[in-house]
Amino acid sequence: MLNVRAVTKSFFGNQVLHGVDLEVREGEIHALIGENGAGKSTLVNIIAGIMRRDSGSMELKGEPVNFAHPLEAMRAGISMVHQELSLVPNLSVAENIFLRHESKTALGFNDWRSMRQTAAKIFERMGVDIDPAVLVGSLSVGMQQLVEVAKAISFDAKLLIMDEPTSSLSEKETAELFAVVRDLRAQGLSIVFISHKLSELFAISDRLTVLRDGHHIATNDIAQITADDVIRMMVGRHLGDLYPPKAAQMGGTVFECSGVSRFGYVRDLSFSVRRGEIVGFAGLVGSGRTEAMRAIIKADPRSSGSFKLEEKAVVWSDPGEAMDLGVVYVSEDRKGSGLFLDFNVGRNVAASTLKRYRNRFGLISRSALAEKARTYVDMMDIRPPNIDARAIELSGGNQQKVLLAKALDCRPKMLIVDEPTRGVDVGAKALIHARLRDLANSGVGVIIVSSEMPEVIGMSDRILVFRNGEIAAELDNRLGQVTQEMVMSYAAYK
Amino acid sequence: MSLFHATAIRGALATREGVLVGVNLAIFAFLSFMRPDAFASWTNLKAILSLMTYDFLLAVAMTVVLIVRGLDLSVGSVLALASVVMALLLQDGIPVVGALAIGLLVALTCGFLNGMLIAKGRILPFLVTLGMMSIARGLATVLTTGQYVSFPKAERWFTQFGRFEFRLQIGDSFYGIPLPLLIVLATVSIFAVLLSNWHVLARLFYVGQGPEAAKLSGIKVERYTIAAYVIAALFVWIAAVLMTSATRIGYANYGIGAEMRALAAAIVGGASIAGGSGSILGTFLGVLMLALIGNGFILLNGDPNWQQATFGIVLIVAVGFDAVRTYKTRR
Repeated sequence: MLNVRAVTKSFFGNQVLHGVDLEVREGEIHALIGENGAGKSTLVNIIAGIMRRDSGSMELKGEPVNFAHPLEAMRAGISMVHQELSLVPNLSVAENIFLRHESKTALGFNDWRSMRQTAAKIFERMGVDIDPAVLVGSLSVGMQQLVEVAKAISFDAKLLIMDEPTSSLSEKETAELFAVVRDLRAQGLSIVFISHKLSELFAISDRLTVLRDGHHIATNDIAQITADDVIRMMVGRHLGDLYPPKAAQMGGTVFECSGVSRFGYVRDLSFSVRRGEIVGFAGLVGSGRTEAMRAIIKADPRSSGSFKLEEKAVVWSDPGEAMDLGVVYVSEDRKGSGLFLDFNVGRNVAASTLKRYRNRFGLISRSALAEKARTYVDMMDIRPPNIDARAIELSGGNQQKVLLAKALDCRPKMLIVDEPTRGVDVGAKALIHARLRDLANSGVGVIIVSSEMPEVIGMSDRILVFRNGEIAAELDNRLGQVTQEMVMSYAAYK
Repeated sequence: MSLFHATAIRGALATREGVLVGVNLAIFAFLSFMRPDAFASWTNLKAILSLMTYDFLLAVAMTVVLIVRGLDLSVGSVLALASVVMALLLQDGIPVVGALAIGLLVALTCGFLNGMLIAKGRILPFLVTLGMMSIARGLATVLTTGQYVSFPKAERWFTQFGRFEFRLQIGDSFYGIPLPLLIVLATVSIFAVLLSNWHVLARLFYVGQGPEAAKLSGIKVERYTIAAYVIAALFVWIAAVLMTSATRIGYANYGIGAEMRALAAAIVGGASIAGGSGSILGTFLGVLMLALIGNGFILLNGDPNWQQATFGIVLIVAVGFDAVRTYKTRR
């Protein structure tokens, strides 16, 4: 149905696609996978008319096509659901779906009644229950993603491209999205699906294409390959064990939290973390884990809570004071509340620790700072290895590495990382996991909050399952015996 | 290695100052060509530099608040209020030092109130400082009933130094260098160095670039925001002192429309409405550009009212460029 041949693309002399082929059949779910920077997004952007190719050809149903604008691609039946939601929260679902292609009445006004009816029909076809009249902002992220899909197919799409649609969805929402996607396949749509989560790709796709460094590596039926094969093709090397080994030895309690409450979010939370231990906070999206962590460091208000650090009672009144004592939190939202996007790597890494880089006049020592930044670039394998690169120019994985470097520069005793590898490629993920384990091994207590079940289980020595603002279960995982089913049985609302 | 200067908007900012130097040279060359007699004389250039002294201080004030993603529309009227208060005290025979100190207190109070309402009250900077603009101007007018306030009893040094000039001999000609200009260049240069090199002031950029990220990085965002408005008020006070000394009067209508020029100059110079960037050198070049344009209108016999319209156009064009730049980087 879609046949892409030998497509090339360069940005400012930097070639990102070296003659890539992609063939998508009618009624199939075609997975596209590769590390960040492999060229996946560029390729689908070219297919959807958002970027133009330098050379190569593209045929849709046997006809050569060359889209100059996304609208042309949409009219030809190719629609894209972007990684980040592009909906307008203050408009209704129907308004969002028909934004820029509104139906008109005879007088040229927007015909809301017909649009609402069409929207309802689309949802019916998708088999989901969303009221087209409600505001998008009132829907959960999962629901919003479904609205994105509805918006994409409202153009009568034949080919739907989904760029990491599940990166911010919970497992339950992902399952719902998959049901919709399978339904659409049954109706004859072709779907190109980009994701970093291998288990997802194996669950949903019919065929899979691997890209690496702008080259097409292989296309296989999903039944004929294994996850190991895919990882090997993606990175061109063996990653060995996906997760680092569990704690070899743990010390005494480094951090103790008792009775943290924030009305409406967290209820009487108490736990402790030992030196060298990684504690995973599992749970569904919305179970209150992030809110709990933010309340702990006082980024948000709390009504109660007391803490002991290295057996001594400590108090703080804002995140800066917590940080000075050694309790450091890394945000889940690297773009919104993590990094300073216009600033370069060096300036980001030193955000919390500027004071430390002083010369004898008490002014910032650029050489000391640059030297430190360079050590982090090496240690975290930040690419490009350039401390002057701005954060916005980096891929998600490298941004996440910078964010972690910034936290490490605070020399934490207790490090709390929230979704440390969301939307990050396999290579960066493995590196971040390894560094977190190194940190724990050096005697630091580590908390990992993650919605990705394999990550929590793979990394944690102990798992606290969060539900409804409370700890629902505590699972010892030092032997790695905890299963997803066990965690899920506590995490899910009963 | 330019970890802090140029890299904020790497390339763009580094070349922005280069571009501004070019633009200023072009205007300079154009005016020299059109009015070789009048423009390039030292008297005229001195007039440009003296007049822009005040605008430069207000533009520095504006730059500081823009860096923390703020805005201060009250710079011009706080200048007037401080000037009036100091002049009234001098008129009553209060010693200069006491009068200046009380004037400083008044200016800093205005800045502090702006900062508190914006940081703690979470009210839009535009609204808070628009209100302060009206309050300060209104107070100044009430205090003076709109009259000039002269202070013949004041100590002589104060009424002299605002007009004092160092005489510099080059060849056969004498050049007078105004003392206020030197004071301002020295003060602001020191501030510029501290702004990018002292960790405390450097944090202002973080606050403006990402308030939430700054908070989670341990920076006391509210405190820094308030500090920015207080620092801005300090520069406004310096402008008020120099202006009051040079003109030997306090007047409630000083600095009308100055906030507009200050904003235009700061944004031309690289500060962004979206916060997190701005440079003192850029702001200086922006002020110089507006001053040359203003002078050009006078020399070429243009209707002076066109000046104001032109500054408005410069502001909108600069804000437009700024918006495009922000859009490109923040998407």
